[in-house]
Amino acid sequence: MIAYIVRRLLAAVPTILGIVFLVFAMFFIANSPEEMARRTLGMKADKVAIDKWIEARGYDLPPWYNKHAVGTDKITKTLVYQKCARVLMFDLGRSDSHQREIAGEIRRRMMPSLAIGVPTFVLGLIVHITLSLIVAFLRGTYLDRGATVLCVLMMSVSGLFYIIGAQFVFAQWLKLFPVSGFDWGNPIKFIFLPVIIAVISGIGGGVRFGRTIMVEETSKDYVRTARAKGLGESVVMFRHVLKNASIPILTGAVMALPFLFMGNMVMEAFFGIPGLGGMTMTAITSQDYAVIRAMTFIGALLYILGLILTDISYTIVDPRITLGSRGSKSLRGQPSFKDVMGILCVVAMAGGAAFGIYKAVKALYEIDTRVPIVSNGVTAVSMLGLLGFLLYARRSELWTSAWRQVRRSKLAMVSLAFLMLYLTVGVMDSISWKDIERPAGNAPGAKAAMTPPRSILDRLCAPLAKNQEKTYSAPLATTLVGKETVEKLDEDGKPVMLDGQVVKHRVFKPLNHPGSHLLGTDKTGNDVVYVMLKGVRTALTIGGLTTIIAVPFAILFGVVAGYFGGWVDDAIVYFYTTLRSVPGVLLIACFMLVFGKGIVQLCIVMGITGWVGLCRLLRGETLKLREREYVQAARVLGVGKMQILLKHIVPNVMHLVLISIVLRFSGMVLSEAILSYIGIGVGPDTFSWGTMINGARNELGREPVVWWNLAAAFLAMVALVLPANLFADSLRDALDPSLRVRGAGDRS
Amino acid sequence: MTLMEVNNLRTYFGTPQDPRRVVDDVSFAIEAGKTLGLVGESGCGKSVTALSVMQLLPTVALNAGGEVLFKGKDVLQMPPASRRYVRGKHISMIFQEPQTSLNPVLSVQTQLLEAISKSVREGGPEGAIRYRSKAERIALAVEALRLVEMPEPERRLREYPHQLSGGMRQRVMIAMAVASHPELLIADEPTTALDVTVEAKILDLLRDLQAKLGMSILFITHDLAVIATMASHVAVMYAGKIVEKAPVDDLFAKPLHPYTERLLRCRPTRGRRGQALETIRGIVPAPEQYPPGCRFCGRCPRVFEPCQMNEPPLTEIEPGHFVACHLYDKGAKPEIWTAPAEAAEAAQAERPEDGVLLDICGLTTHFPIYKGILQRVVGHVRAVDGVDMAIRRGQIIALVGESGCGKTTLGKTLVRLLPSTSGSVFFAGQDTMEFDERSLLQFRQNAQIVFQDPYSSLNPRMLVQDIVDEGMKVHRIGGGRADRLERIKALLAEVGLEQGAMTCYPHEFSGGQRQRIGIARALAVEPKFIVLDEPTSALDASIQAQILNLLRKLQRRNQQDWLTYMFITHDLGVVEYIADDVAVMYLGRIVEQASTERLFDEPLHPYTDALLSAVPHLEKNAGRKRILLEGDVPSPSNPPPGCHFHPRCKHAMPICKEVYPDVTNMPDGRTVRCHLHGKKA
Repeated sequence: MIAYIVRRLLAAVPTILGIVFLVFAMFFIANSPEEMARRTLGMKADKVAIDKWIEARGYDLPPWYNKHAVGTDKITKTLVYQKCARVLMFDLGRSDSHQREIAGEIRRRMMPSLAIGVPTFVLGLIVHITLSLIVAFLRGTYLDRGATVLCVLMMSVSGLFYIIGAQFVFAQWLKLFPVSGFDWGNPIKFIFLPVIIAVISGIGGGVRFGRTIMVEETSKDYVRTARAKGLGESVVMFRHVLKNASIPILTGAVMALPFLFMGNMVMEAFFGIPGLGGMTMTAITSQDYAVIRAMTFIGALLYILGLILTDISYTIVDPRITLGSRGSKSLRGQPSFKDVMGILCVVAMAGGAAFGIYKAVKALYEIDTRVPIVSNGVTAVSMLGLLGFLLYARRSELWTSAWRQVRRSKLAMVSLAFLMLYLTVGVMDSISWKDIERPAGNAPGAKAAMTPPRSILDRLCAPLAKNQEKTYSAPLATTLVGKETVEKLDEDGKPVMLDGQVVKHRVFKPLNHPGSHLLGTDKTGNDVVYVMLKGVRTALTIGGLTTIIAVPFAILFGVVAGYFGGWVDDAIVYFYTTLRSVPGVLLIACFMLVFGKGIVQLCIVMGITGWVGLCRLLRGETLKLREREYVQAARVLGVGKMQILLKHIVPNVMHLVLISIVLRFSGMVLSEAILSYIGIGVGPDTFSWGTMINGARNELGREPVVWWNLAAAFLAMVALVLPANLFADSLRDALDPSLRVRGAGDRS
Repeated sequence: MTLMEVNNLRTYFGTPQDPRRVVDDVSFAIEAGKTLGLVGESGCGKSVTALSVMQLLPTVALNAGGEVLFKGKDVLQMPPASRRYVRGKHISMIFQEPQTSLNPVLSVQTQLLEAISKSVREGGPEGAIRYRSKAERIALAVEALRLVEMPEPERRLREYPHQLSGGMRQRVMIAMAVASHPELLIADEPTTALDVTVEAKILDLLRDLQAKLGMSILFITHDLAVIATMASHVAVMYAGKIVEKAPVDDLFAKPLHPYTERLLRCRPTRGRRGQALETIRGIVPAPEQYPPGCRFCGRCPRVFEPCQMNEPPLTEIEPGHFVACHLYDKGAKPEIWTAPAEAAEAAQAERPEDGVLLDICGLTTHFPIYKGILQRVVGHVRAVDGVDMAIRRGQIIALVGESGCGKTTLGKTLVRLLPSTSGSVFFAGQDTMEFDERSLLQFRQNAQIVFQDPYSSLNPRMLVQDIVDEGMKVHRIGGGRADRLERIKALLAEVGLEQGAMTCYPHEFSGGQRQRIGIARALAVEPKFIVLDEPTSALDASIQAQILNLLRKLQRRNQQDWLTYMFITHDLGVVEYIADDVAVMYLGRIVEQASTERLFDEPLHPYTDALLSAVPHLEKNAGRKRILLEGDVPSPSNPPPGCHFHPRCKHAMPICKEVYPDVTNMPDGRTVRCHLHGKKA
């Protein structure tokens, strides 16, 4: 046990060093202290102020090696040591914004975070296990089917919806709880609502996961043995099934344990809890680099701790697993020099291609034509890609048989129809061109100017886009929401005068286009339906572009690591463990702060963080596949390694790739909303459901309540995410051969 | 006295509108204290019959009718609570896979105590109820383990299933089943997953328990020889129906149904050496493809008109001997039964000149075990631990031994799928272990392997023609694409597949057909040496016969240069039928090697002797004197010092504990590693 922990901690050292380097690279190589200062102080700040800012925060040191210092200072008086390496000694330094001691800040804010995190964790675990057990007990009945659909629905609703909805209903409307704040004197009052919301928002995913595991367990042979002994159904479920099923559930929960400490950013921000999550959130919005760095390190350390705890918890709940010894049945092959060169060539080629594409896109972007090359080109290429895939799939046994099975499910077909509808809207919004605007009259010499590009969707919805109002108006209303003070007019339209003064009064100002806004207008007077439709393209772009970036990486690294083993495997595993151990939100925050907000940046950073999960999955699957007899047969025939990878391994993991793409897609749409809410998503000038929510969340406090904006955004999201989830489910049933076998063996 | 009577039992799967008749109108009776054997190929509905009796069916099953009378009461009509009571108390069941049938996270004690009821009626059925204390129940659990002859029962109670060997797990299963002293034990293929020596012990145990407890057994198996040693009555199932039912001696002496008859004749035995085995064409039809008439008519060699039209009823032809076949209808005039002319063996071509093809010297394959902070290598699994052996050209050498003895590792090392640790293998004079990449590629063409599992040995995403083509492409055999397709066509015809197979995917084929594709893939590169790793053990008896015939035929496809096979198997019947030479392996070493006749007639090594004696035989008096081995096969990472076999050997001498015996070359050309036959003995 102790030997094991020591070994794991030793193994964590390179990971932590990797994180130090990663953070350093992001803050001090990709970004310079000047830029940081300029972002904080504003672009127009003068040189003196910037230098002062830099010096006060100790960013004026050389990055790696200090030539001017003496002795060991040559190494210690550097950015990498002062700002990154000292974290390893738990010396977190001072915050950039207020120059406060970060460690002290963390100590102070830790307890409120835990006060919410621990009850959420415990209550959540109890609720999930109980509900999954009930649903699994009722498997095959209508109740079970209803519960499964309900779970998918709950998963498809954005987490923000639960928070905003519950806060509105319980705090603002019923006034049962305070809206926000925290007080140690009466913690329950403040904790109750956040905890309940956190538990409820997790039920969908948790219960579905639990049910899948339990139903899988009930089809195992030992359950049949237990029944053959004459045991009652409740004993079978509680003693035999629950104990086996709780292994993955519990160990999964243990992984989350250290992160309770980090706090829940969104929840704490919403409820004004003075915890660590709130602190991180403030740090992101106020661009406090020191705090973000500190929290990134802490998050990474907690991740490694979580991994170790998970392994230990396995040995406690599962008698089959013992720590410390790893008997290996098969020899892990060592990749030859040729293999490594081959892999490096492929990686270099992929990198070169990516760089070339980047350059080409940038060059094309500069060219001013009537038809924007980049956006239309990307649309055309992805449509051609989709068409190509469909043509290929028509000939391939795997896809046609899966399609036959998916087609049988009505739910899947309805979902597909929804997805196609969204896709159509998205594509229509992506094909755009500029109009030539002739100046009014035929004035000689006046040049024809070009309008900004407008898409097919813009043209189709021209009335919606044009019918702008001044500000909020309710659905189908004829007037604006709030009263305004205007000059009083008489019948003739002249201002009414009294004592030489213009008489003013407060009225609901009529709309420019009364009754034409199906879902009202937003703060700037845009039609909400139009904004909602424009958001489709953003959502699809984020889902799609992220996938295009992440999937090739995942396949290449996952398959190579699994098949070659040896130190290539070690290197890839090290690489993704390091990347994964940085909390995702913070990594994205770092990236967005350094490279600026925008949809392309968001896709790139989510692509970089997103390939890890699929890569792990594919590596595991490849490890299994390489021992398959057909792979061995190919080796005995003398088939080359690349051929084996391409013909025997990759086609046999493609079903996993497709399932994960569809599942990932809905996750991306939901995270975009949260990231935009936190302020590290797409910029505020991009149409997206996240910015819609972000802009509207404070308006629930108004009287009368402005709800239509939020409702439209949530509705649009659910109508995309729910079909995507349902379609992913039936696709998985159709593609995953292990599920097919399991379904047949389902016993009661 | 009849203990259980099953009448017209029907269990269908699927929907009531479109049922798949998995068990269709099955009737049988089990006498108290007797054993009824239920035999048939896989997919015939044997297991579903047993599960229907116990009411442990999957949800997709429909109880379509019939009755299961246990002591006069219909189990199917009972309320669930009393059915559970009957299940636990009066009828018990053991399953095929002891590995998965025990709950991995509960201790043996917990699982065993569940089978021991907490209360007991003192003094007959009307007596007062007495509750058992925990200590008392634990004592009963220990007693149950003693009953199944489990060594150290007290210690075992605290252990978990993964700490037990396969044989011990099955003993725990049996202990759970007999702890309540049931009147009926249903054993569903209880020994299929076990080694032959372990099987022999478990079968003995079941017979002992039956005698001690006076219980009846419903014994389900596909193995006719096992049934011959176990059952008093036998029912033969085919495609959801019982086609023949008779006392065991009657059935084997005079099988009436053509299916039973063929099933008995397609077994590989020594007597059929040198001739093709009889086979049953085709495969068992799936439930949705049952023909309207007799379900066997598609495969039956004696089919005539009525068979196509009506299903034959099960009728008593001789006292106690029931059969469902139109041949025995009154006034039926089938063609006179003549044994089909044996496909005249291609005039027993003389084996081409001998000569050693493969010379194995001191070959070892060790797998390291890592442990500790630095994951240092602390030991090795000695899967192959010093093998010396010579394989002559054009021979079939069988490699036998229990699971875990290193047979498969040796086979894979020979074709360079696994790296050897030391030693050398000379193929046509060159050391294959020293090959560089180019000569290795050449060697790859010469040495091929056919795997056991026909399901995982073909890439599900490739067309059959591409699977066969792959090796030819690598080795540039057969010219251009069009020429290769011609060759593939011819090759598939040679292994008995139709032309249409080329453009199909593997999942469209049955197990036997897949195995043919695997063989075609290996043959496509025209190898000289093929390792056959249990090629028939995943197949049914009738399919096994087809594949064995095919393999024999293919061995001689080239008149001048016969193929050399290394046939890895645990089925000694197959060995006796097909092999020229036999090598017996125990814990990574070859303990005896001899020609098949010599080895079976006069085994020299005590292990060989025990292995041969454990095989159940159909012919009752053909069995040798049983030698039951003590204990289990030791772990190959920590073999006993001296002769690895000495802790289980009846003839162990002091020297056996110290020195591993050298190879002794006997005068008749056989080799043995045993001190009994060494120079010192």
